[in-house]
Amino acid sequence: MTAPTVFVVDDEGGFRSSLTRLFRSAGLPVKDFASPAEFLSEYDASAPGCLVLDFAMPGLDGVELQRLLRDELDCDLPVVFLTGKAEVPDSVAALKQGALEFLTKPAEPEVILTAVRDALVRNEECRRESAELAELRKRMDELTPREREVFEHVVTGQRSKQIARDLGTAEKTIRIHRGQVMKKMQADSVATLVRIAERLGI
Amino acid sequence: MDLNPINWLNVLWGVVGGILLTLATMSLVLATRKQERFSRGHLLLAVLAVASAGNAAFEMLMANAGTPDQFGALLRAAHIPVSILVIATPWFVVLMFRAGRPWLAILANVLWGTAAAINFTLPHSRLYREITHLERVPLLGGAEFTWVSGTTHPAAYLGYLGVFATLVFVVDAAISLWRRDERRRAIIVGACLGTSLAIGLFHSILVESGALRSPYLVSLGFLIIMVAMASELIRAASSAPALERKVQVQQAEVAHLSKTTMLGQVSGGIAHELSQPLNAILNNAESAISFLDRDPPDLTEVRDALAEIAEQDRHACEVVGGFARLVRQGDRKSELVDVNGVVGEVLELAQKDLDRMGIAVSVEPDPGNPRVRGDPVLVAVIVFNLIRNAIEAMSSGEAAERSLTLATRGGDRDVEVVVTDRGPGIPETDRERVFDPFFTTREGGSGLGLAVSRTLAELYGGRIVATAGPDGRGTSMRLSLPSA
Repeated sequence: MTAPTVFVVDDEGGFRSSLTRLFRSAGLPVKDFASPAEFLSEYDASAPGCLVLDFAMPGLDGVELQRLLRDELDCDLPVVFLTGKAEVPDSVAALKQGALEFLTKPAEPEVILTAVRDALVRNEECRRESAELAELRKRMDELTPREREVFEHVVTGQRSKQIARDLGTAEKTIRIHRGQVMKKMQADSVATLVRIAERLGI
Repeated sequence: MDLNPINWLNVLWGVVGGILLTLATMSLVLATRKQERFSRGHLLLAVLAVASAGNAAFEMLMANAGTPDQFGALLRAAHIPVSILVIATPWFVVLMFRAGRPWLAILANVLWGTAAAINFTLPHSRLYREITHLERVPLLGGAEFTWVSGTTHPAAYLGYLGVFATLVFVVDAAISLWRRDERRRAIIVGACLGTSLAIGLFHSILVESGALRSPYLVSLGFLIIMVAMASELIRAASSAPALERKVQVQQAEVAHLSKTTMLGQVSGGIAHELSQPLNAILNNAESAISFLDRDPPDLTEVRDALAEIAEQDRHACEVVGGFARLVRQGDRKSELVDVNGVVGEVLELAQKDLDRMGIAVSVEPDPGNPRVRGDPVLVAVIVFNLIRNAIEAMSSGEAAERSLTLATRGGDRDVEVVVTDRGPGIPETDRERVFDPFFTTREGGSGLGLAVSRTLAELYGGRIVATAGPDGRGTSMRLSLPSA
């Protein structure tokens, strides 16, 4: 997996170059693009990082790009908008769409850097969350249908005896299944199992 | 001739003549005043006053004439000053009041002129084939005057007709002044001039037909006319500078308002234009510091950052420079304006908006470098307004329809700047209305842009017209200004 990269999209050459340099000076890997189209043609959906967008660009504008990305990616690339004029309706729309930040130029370099660092952290957390969930789902898939049933009952807080009665089998069988579930799900206690269940939305 | 100078009649003519000559002198002085707008009027008045004085002199001489031949000769000669007065009066009205029908004046002139011409060929003037009778008539107070009678010559009637036509002219002029709501002038022209002419005519007819024994006192009537005309002239001469100054002040205010409005609008654009390079400079500066703080410092990056700072600064200077050029030139009010140059500068200012809207621009300057006389800032205001309107018109349209053409065309009389867009166009019924103040089809639009632009254009003797674009689509705004 590549290091988290800052993706800069801005049609104004001089400004784009200065932004890129700023991120470089802060030790952040950066890639810049002159237009949303250019970005889309080169961007790999699996690349981590965040997006710094100029709000008003000819052609596809920032908000539309944001919407496009959201539809394609499971975990959105966090977006930091930079705009020359502070238009309140535009900023509200962008934030509603899930932009992380909406900054007006001129913006202090420190402010931009802070926003970008936050975005990168967010992206990092989001990816980690995603990866963990994927792992958990994989483990779930390992369960047999019976084990799956037992799992669902265990996390409601039922005792083995009750589960045995509900499912019409012996308590001992249930205990064996429960052990398997704990092992496959790599949980060390019922409490952990419950948390796993919550995360998976069961 | 038996002149008894001290009798009151002669004194009366002396007084009348004196007043008239004083008036003539005053008018001459006023006529020669520097920057006097009415010098022609004053000059004319002086001539007329002198003629009236001359007429008074003749009247006095006639009243003291001893023989019919003397009288006749004096009467004939008196036609000189009288002709000057009768012929010039209608033209004075035309010149000073801009009223009255010129054809009527010409007719009156021709009638009188013919009669006067005939007069000079006759020994006893146009009025008498022959003066057959002369008597001295006594008056109260010890005065006496000569009174004659004789056979009437037909040319007398021609002369009366001429004076009557002049009277008709004057009355007609007075009526039109009244209708134009210039009541005071109507009264002066109608009452003073008209009445004096009427009474003079009537009096002459009575005397010359033998019905009335009286000396000629037409000069009194002329005195009234002269005083009326002089008062009008003086009034006009003293109020004109004030009026003119008022108009100049108002024009300057409109120009100033438009300039500040435009500068305000442009400043918004300038601020936007400047914030980009300033921002970039800030980012680069901070970056350079960070690179320097590294161990070891990354000097290549620092150098690049500084080079870019220099470039951004230059760009910012250009933006400011263009603006400053425009503003500096605006301090002088009337100069030769390079139309192509102004169009170019305005285009630069509007470039960001044009790019943002994706509008393709084509410029067709006249290679002959047309020039107009005026204030380049105000010309820029007008062109800027027209461009903004074009941008607005195309804002809702298709991308393919977003093209703007700026053309300049120089000519002998006019220079034209044409701003053409391919927007929805203006319906024919609205093509004049768009120039009305507060007419706008745009939400949040003030509706003043085109109205102000048109006022400014007219200030310089030009105009703006909206027409359909070249193939019937879109709109062409045509600004024309007088060629310098």
